[in-house]
Amino acid sequence: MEDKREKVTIKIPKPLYANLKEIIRGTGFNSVTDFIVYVLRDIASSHVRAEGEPLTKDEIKLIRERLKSLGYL
Amino acid sequence: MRLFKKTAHHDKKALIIGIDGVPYTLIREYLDRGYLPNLKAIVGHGHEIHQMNASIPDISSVSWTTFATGVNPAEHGIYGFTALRPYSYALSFPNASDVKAPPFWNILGKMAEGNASTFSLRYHKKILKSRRSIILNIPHTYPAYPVNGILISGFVAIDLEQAVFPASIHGYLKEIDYLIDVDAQKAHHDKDEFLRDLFSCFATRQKVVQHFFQEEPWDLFVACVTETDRLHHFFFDAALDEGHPYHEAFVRFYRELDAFIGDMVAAFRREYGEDAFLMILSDHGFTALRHEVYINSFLHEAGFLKLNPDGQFYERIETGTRAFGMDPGRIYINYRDRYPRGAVDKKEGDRLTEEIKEALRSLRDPAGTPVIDRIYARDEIYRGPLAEQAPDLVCLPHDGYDLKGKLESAGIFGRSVFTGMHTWHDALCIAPQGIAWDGKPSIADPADAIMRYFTD
Repeated sequence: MEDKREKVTIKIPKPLYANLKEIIRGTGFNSVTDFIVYVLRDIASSHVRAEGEPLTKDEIKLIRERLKSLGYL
Repeated sequence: MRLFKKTAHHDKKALIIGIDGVPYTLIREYLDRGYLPNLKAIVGHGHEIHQMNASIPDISSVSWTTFATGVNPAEHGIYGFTALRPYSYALSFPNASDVKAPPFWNILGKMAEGNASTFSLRYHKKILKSRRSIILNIPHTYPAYPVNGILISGFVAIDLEQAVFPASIHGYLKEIDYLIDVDAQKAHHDKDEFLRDLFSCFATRQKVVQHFFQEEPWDLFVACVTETDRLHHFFFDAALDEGHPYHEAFVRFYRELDAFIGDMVAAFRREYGEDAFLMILSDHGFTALRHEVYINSFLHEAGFLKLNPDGQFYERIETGTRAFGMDPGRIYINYRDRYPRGAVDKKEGDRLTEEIKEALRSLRDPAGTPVIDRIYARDEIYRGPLAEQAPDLVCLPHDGYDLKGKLESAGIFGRSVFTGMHTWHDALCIAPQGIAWDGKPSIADPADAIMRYFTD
């Protein structure tokens, strides 16, 4: 399993920690840390996925190559 | 900022591990040889190992979609990696947005409303609370779509940003140099380098699977290993041949796979106990390849197919063509009302189908051995609203004869870099004892077992 030493410690105000602890009660999050990591990842990701966008020509070219490399085309 | 969806803690947890293209018979053999101690412990510990039928045709996009949706292709709409656009010969590449039935994880996540199937209708009223799923690397889930949880698309995903839901996990995957798939083209010119990539890709895959297993809340966790299928395509001749130069590497890969499964299952049982639901399955089997069989060359030589030397793929089909093939063993009648240069009237269809079947049954390899094992007409195997899109015939070959749909081959038989081929009859399912399968299980059945676990 993943090496815990790959993590760093970040300090947050105690009242905020207590508040978050309340927020996650009864949710699937096992800890405040899990919740903070989840939220921060969302913020850190700046792009928005385009829903239902058709494949581009470059994507189609790559798909053809991948299928060909495995003998499916 | 996207707010999280509150998920209640549920007592029921399911871990599903997909091992792409792993054959039942090979696992039995490796269990007997003692190569897979962890799988052996699982099979002897409340679980049974079953031989399972794949989808028809037996390729990953169809089989994993059948697994995910619990319905046959005439309901989910995926018949292969390739299709033709309606009323044309233009090649298209169906993706996740073409799947017309909801995957069971979205039924469990209460995200399948408005996208019903016969399968989802059996269960959607029984799901009282939404369940959170982590879905990693299942083929034909690209582009990634919303799930209650996390989804990372598998083959044929191209752009990692489009292969993740929610978008926020992209940063982590980029950080650790996540690879959706190994570059199989490398195996065509440097097998050693390809093997190194395969082990390295599997190592990263394990890291990602273990990361999400530990770090995220979930009720259902589904993770697929693709590298087994890639290993088999290029090295299956090494699987049992102890004198083969790649036998040691082949077995080493399986030992690593066994260790990975052992770690996952141990962590799963430690966290959720012995009664939590565990399943390990493949989407099709594999066997050693003796001949590649170019079905379009056969149709051409038998007078069913006429090709223009110029043009791209199926655009080459000429007037006068009565039937053509698509990978792997799909045969389509060139009906006048279905294709621009169609040559066959509907009323001629039955007679022509019989003619093609007869010709296929007579197909022999250069040593005189029959090639085709079974030929199914569309209405024998497909049931559902999308049956009209199905091939008119599907051939299943005898083991060793790999049916190929390409148009440009010189003869009917050949060999290339591939040493393994898919099989329909030899997929694998390791499932809890006591599941009432209706005879030999097929790839549409596991979804039902998983949903029953969550709803009983």
